[in-house]
Amino acid sequence: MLIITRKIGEVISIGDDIEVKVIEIKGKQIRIGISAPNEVRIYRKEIYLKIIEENKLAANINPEDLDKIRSIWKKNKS
Amino acid sequence: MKVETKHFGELDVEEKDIIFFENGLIGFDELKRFVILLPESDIPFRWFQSLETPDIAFVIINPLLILSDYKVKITKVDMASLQADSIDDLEIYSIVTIPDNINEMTINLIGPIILNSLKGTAKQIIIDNSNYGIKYSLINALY
Repeated sequence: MLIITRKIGEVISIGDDIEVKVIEIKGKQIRIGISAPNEVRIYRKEIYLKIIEENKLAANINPEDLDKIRSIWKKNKS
Repeated sequence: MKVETKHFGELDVEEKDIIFFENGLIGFDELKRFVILLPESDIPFRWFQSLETPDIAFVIINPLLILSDYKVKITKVDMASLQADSIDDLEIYSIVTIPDNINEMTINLIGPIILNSLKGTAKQIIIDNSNYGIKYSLINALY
């Protein structure tokens, strides 16, 4: 990992198309601005980790669950 | 081709029904081939079965049936990797999480599966949008 120190207002360029700017620092939080082409997905890393976790939980399924879902769905629709 | 599944025994799957994730599912890079099973035609939930691992299957549902104004951003890169010429070729599914208490059933709105039904290609994308949650309660939506 490349470690760079920046002051507020300074910018880091990544490749030709991506820029990261330090906007503001307030206490323990830093406000970061990112400009990147539309194709580049930008998301908080913990979101990615949460999805991995949720995928794992969702993979624990039984066919009996489908029966339970059916009864709830039908109960609602009637 | 014949496929072993944990819950449905041995299945006969046709090449044209196989859904291919170039990058696998998020956190499950090695799971690239799935098939949608419709064991229940009277409810909109579908069974999403892994072809590489018989034990692994998911329940999926079209999120628009739960949240009619659900919107996701599909980029040109998404379209290219799905080999899709038109947005109309795409279908969207959310993965359902079913805990022990069925009333706490939720769908994942921030990690939808986008499927190009014409080509059988799919990817799971990440929506980092604070309007949507990873555990959206289905019961609240139904009642």
